[in-house]
Amino acid sequence: MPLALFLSFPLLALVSEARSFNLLHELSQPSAVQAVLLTLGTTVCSVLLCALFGTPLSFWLARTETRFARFLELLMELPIALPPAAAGVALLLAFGRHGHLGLNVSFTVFAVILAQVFVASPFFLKAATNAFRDQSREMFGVAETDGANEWERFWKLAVPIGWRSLMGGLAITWARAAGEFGATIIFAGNFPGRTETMPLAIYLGFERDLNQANALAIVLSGCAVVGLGLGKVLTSAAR
Amino acid sequence: MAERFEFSHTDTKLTFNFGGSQQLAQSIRAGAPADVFASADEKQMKVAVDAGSVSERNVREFAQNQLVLVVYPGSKVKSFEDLAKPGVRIVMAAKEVPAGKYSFALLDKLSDKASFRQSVMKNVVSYELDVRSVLRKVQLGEGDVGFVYRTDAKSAGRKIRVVDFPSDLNVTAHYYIAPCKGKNGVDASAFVDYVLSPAGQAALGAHGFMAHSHAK
Repeated sequence: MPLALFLSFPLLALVSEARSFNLLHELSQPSAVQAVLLTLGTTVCSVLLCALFGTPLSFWLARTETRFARFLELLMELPIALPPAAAGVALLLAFGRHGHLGLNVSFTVFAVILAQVFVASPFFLKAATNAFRDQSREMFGVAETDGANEWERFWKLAVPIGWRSLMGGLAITWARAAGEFGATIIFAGNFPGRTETMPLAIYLGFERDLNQANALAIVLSGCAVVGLGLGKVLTSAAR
Repeated sequence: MAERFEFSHTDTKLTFNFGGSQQLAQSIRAGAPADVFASADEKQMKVAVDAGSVSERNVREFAQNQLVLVVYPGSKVKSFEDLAKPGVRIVMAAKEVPAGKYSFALLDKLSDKASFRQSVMKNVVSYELDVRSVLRKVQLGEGDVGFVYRTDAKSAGRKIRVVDFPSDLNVTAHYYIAPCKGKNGVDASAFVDYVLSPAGQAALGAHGFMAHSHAK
C-alpha cells in the first residue's frame, strides 16, 4: 500500500497543478508544439523499427534452444538495466563522428530515433519473446508437417495469433521511447525542432517557463498512462 | 582549495554539488540543504535570494571568467569569423544556462552585421544543458567548435585548440558566492571568506579564473 501511494501521489500532484495554468494555452506555444510533434514523430519511427526488426528476432529467440540464443537474449535485455546516460555515451562511441564506425548521425533526428530504439526495444523483445514462447509447439509441428516453411510459420501463424501481445509490447515500448532523456541529450544533443524532445523541453522548461514544463510533463505522463494501459489491456486479452 | 580549507579547519568537512547554475538554483529554491551557493551569473544568485535561502547583503563576487572558443584539432576554425563559414558545427550552452546567456551576448557584440549572426546560428548543432557538455562534445569531435569558459578550455589541456575572442569585445562572466541561511552559517561564512582570501584567490587563478572586481 505505501508503495502504491508513493507512486501515485506525485502523478496526482502533477495533474492538480494543471488548475493553476491554462493547459491548452501552454501547449499551443511554438516551443511546446515542436517538442510534442518531434516526440510523436520520432517515437512512431522507433516503434516501427522495433516491430520490423524485433518481431523476427524474438520469434527466433523463442524457438531456438542454443546457448548462443540465450546469450543473445541476455544482451538484448541489457539496455533496460543500463543507465540512459551510459547508453548515450556508448552510442556516441559506437556511432559518433569519431567513434568506431565514423558515422555522421549525432545531432540529427536519426540520432534521436536510434537512442529511443536502443533503450526501448528490450521491452518489446521481452514481451514478444514471451508471447511466442507461450504459443503451442504442437501447432507449429503440425504446420511444419503440412509443409509450411519457417517464414510461413512465423508470418501466417505466430504473428496473427500473438498480435495482441505484440501490440501490447509495442505500446509499452512507445511509452518508454517517449520518455527517453539521458541517451538523447548525450547522443543527439538538444536543438528545438530537430532533437529537443518533450523530456528535454521539460528539463529546460524548468528555467525557461515553468508552466510550459508542467504542461509538457502532464502530456508525457499521459503518454505513459496510455502506453502502459494499452499494453496491459492487450496482453491480458491475449491470455 | 577544499583540501587546504579542511586542513586549516579541522572540524569542518566540505562536500560539493556541481552542476549548471540554473539547475543548482532550482534545487535550492525547492529546498535542497545547501550551506554555500556559488553561481556563474547574477541571475541565478538572484533566484536563491528571492527564494529566501541567501541574504542579499552576503552576496560577493568572487571570480570572473571569460569565454573562449575550443576547437577540435581536425577543424579549420582559426578565428571567430570562421564561425559563419558553412559546414562548421557549433556547440553552445542553451540560453537558460549562464554560459549560454554569455555566449549569446558575446555573439551579439561580435555581429555588427545581421548576416554574420544568422550564418553562425545556422551552424549551431546543439544547445547543451551545461557548459561542460559543450566541452565534451568538442573534445569528442562531435562538434567542431564550442563556446566555453577559459577555465574549461584550460582543464582540457592540449587535446583541443583554443581560439580567443578579441578582448575588447569579449563578455565577462561574473561569479557570485554567498553563505545560505541555516544551521551551518558560521562555517559557511568561513568558507566564503577563504574563497575571497589571497589563498583562495590564488587557487582560483591557477585554474584560469580572473580576479573579482572590488566594486561589490
